[in-house]
Amino acid sequence: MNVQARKDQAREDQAREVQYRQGDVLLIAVDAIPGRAVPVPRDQGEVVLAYGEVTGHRHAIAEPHAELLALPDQEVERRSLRIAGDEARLRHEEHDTITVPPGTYRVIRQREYVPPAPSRSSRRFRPVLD
Amino acid sequence: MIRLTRSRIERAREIHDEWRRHALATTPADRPAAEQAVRRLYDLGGHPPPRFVWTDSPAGTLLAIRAMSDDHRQAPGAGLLHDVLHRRPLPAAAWRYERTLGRRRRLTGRRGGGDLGSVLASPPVPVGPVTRDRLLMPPGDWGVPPFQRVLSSALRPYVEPGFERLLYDFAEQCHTGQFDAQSIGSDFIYRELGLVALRPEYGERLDLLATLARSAGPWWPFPDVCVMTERPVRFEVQPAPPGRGHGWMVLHSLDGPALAWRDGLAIHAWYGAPVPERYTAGELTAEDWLGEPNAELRRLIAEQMGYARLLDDLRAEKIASDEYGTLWRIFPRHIDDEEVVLVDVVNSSLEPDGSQRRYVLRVPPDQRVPRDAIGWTFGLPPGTYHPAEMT
Repeated sequence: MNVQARKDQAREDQAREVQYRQGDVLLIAVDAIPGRAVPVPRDQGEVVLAYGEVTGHRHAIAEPHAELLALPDQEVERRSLRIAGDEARLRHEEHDTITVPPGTYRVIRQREYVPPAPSRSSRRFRPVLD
Repeated sequence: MIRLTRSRIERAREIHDEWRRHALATTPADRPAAEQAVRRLYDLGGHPPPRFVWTDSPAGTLLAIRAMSDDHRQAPGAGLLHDVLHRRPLPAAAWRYERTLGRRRRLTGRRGGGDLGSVLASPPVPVGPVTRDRLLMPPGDWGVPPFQRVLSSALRPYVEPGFERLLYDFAEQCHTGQFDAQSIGSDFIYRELGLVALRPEYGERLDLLATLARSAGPWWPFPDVCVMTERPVRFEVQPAPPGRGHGWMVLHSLDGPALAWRDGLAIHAWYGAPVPERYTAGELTAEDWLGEPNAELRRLIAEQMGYARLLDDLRAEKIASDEYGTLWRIFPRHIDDEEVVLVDVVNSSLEPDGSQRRYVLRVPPDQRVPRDAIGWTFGLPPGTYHPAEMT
């Protein structure tokens, strides 16, 4: 398989993955969670995928069989969600609830483009904190 | 050990609610009651009764104190009569007894807590941390912090540059009167539920300070003169977002100042984050939206302005529209600016009024397909964004 074909294959695989979006959080079904990932503690008994920086609204799952995992040295952008056994409900103050089937997911926070500042930084985006 | 009964929690909640009302009161000060309490406090300290200067806000108080002082560089707290202000928060006093002095079963000790004997008549009833928290912050209740720190920036225009120290000391000392009400409420919970027995002299002092907390703003006792502050005319709060002070209120008002006094001193804040006055005065412009680095504040700006007006003000031109959203382009204002491309994302969730919530995000200038632009915001390559469900 040449490089282009492999790229196309990867893209097709990606296109088949199930995605769920709730506001600024996207869940993508994945086959496995990185082995080094460790559980993120619950907040007030809930798995919180993301907080609003100002309003404090949260994307949260209350079911006990959901678990959020993060690589120890990674930012919030690289996190995984495991839902074991039964489906779980992802809730948020301003969005309708999404029922997520059991499985493993990558949790992606929405980001925004930041134009390059001349000489200041090379950051091309910043996270959206809804 | 005290038992945590339903009736005790209910009574604590009632006291808590009452003092929260005092903490947030916006009625004019009860000047006769406040002055009488101050006179008695001066009397207890052996000071002659003071002359009273009333000001309309902490800004007025700051200027009045500056005008009194010969040396402006002298901290405003330096001449204060601290024996008149003296108060010992009872939950902290009881905790201190439990942790240190109680081991020796004495109310006095050499290390720091020596004055507990002048406050408490007998050792406090032991209270576990869970009971203490449930009584001081009944479930579902929210405390009102003194807000003295947020005053600093609002007061800065009132003093010349170089007086940061004066400003800092002043703001730090702004925790009396109304700004003390929540903490006085905690003292009352401890006293009324019998967790502490106060010495009569201290009991009178607490009642006088409580009278001040429910009748006036912060007050400043100096020899011969006491500067008294009026209460604010507007005080808007709401529970703090998690992680930013759970259990406490933060200043919040989308339209108009969150905290304002009659002479115009005002603090504008959204969910506790200070914002410029024009944000809440209906004078928002597209420039504010473009310049605000916090995405959530920016969304609040856009919602205050309305997306239609925002895109209109920006003279945005539609690039494309699909089932996921709309892509807009704004031509650069300066020759070396990059073109601004925005994707207008519509949430599927309906608002209570049946409308759909929108938000607008900036994407790289080469984006041309709304669906791919939204995919980019999630780090996805073109053609791979296809949520099975979105809300």
